[in-house]
Amino acid sequence: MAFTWSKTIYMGLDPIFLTELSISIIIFSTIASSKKSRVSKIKTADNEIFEVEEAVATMSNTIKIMAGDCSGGVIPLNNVHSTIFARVIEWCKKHVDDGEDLEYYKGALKNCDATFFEVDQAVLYHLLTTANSLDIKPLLHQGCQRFVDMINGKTVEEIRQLLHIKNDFTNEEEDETRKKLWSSVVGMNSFILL
Amino acid sequence: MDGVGESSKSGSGVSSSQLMKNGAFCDEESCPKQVSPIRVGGSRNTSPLGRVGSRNTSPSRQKVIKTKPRGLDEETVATFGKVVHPDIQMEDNIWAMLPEDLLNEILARVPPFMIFRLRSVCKRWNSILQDNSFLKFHSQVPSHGPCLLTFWKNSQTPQCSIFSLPLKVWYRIPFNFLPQWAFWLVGSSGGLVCFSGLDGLTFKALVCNPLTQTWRTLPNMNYNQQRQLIMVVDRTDKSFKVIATSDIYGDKSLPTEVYDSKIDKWTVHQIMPAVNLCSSKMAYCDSRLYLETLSPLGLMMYRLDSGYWEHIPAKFPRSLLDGYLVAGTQKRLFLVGRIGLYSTLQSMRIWELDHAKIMWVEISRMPPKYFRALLRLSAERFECFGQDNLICFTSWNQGKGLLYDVDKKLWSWIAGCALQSYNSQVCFYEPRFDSSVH
Repeated sequence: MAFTWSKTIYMGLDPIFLTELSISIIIFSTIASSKKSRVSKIKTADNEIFEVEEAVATMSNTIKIMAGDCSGGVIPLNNVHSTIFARVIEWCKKHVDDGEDLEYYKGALKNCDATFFEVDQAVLYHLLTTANSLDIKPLLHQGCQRFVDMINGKTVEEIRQLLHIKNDFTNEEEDETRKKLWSSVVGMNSFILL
Repeated sequence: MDGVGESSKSGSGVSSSQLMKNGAFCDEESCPKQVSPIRVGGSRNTSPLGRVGSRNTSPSRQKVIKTKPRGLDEETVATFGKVVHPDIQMEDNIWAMLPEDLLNEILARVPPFMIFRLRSVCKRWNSILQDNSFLKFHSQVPSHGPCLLTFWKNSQTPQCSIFSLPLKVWYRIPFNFLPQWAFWLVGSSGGLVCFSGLDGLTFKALVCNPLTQTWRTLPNMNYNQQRQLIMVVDRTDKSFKVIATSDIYGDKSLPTEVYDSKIDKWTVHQIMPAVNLCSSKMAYCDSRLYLETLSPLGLMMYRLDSGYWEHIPAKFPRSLLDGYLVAGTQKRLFLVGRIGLYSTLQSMRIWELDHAKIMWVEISRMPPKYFRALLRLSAERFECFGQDNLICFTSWNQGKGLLYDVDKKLWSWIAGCALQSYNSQVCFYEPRFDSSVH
């Protein structure tokens, strides 16, 4: 083999080697491109079809399981509307590479996510219920945080009004519950972000 | 986390009236904010008919509608009752349709102090929020945001205020259960708070969980000396350790002792190798205790698992004043301090220890205007402590606090009444329901 090897040095690459190389390149690229182009087709309640990259779509555990059952067909989501689903997918695309880091569990929402949740109440409600039904835990977590921030400044009565909850405590019971260990010392706006 | 003070120092001369701030100061008896005169006008009849899970029945009788079961076949999908329109869906009523499990998810993210307030919303919420399985679910959410705990003793009465960073509100916590001798705030970790003090001639320590108002005095140490303590909680193990290192008088023959809650005993460990003077600056991360030595300025590390001291030859920055050690997340260790005494160019800087190269790398500097606002005089004292990559600076004289988020590189001010007492001790605190003192 030493003889053939020295030959290639003079005459360029060995043709057999070249063929092998090109074949492996072709195989490789097909694998790579097929991975890239794996999309899931998802149909929402209003019969709109979304084509979403599989990695993004399977951030939803529900979709992941349904995809396994459908195996290539269209996944129907009968209780998600297209406008909400579009937003959810937008969020998923931003967070597809987050992995298991869960850094957003700590503290406030990141800036990009904070603006995502600056929506009106109806949309927030549907985002939450959709995140719940599609089982996208990080989105659900952030949505819940947003809701908690929303009710943070409210009094108990305002919370009741928002959630349409009837106050079923009697006056005495309510005093009892209020006379709890903690009393809230509401200070001035004592946290200024610069 | 400055737990050192003269043993005979009594509470400050600051009377409680000085601690009143501008806003309303609520007692437990009267809390005007919570009383809602709106109710006088008659309760709102809001429950739509046919809405399952009506909120004024007792929990045992309520029916619950669940959202679509997660991850099951399409055939078993339960649809919403209404078709979702893209237009605004009667915003007025939208949250009334909140499903039960989603409500639980939301309540699990509520910071602990708000949970108490939410108990008075209705009976159903009251029972949910006290239910053990809910509290367990609530505790599994990794973090609800840190709080600052300030503690000071006003002659005999301990006063404690907690500032919740996510809620941006100060809370007053009764600490009546604390015995008289508890005087120094050692620190807080994983929901538990540790105090130390001298009971007669015996130096003692106790741990408590302010949220559940449970507490326990730890058994006496093997060597009775007033010392520097640090407490660490292992949440996965559900145990905690208290490490007692050098004493404040520099007694070099005093061995390190470690209290382990699993065996409920203090064990004697190695004596720290002779160094000239130890500071009170300690930080614990990654099962190692780091302690700063003053003369010469250096770093000592104590490995808890193997139980011996080691000198870390990391060179400290030149002309460093008041170096504070702060532990970050995982293995990160920060050094915070000022450079340049008597110089107009004095600046506050933060370094991080590079474990591989064993050197301090500067990662941040306090912006000059904040530095000037925090410390008007160049020789003024300040406190610095931290947790989870948050570093807090408090200036006693001015009652201000400055917070630095290492990850986000963000500086922010905290102001409020409790920081104004000059001998209040401050630390980070994470309120948790599930931390046990045993």
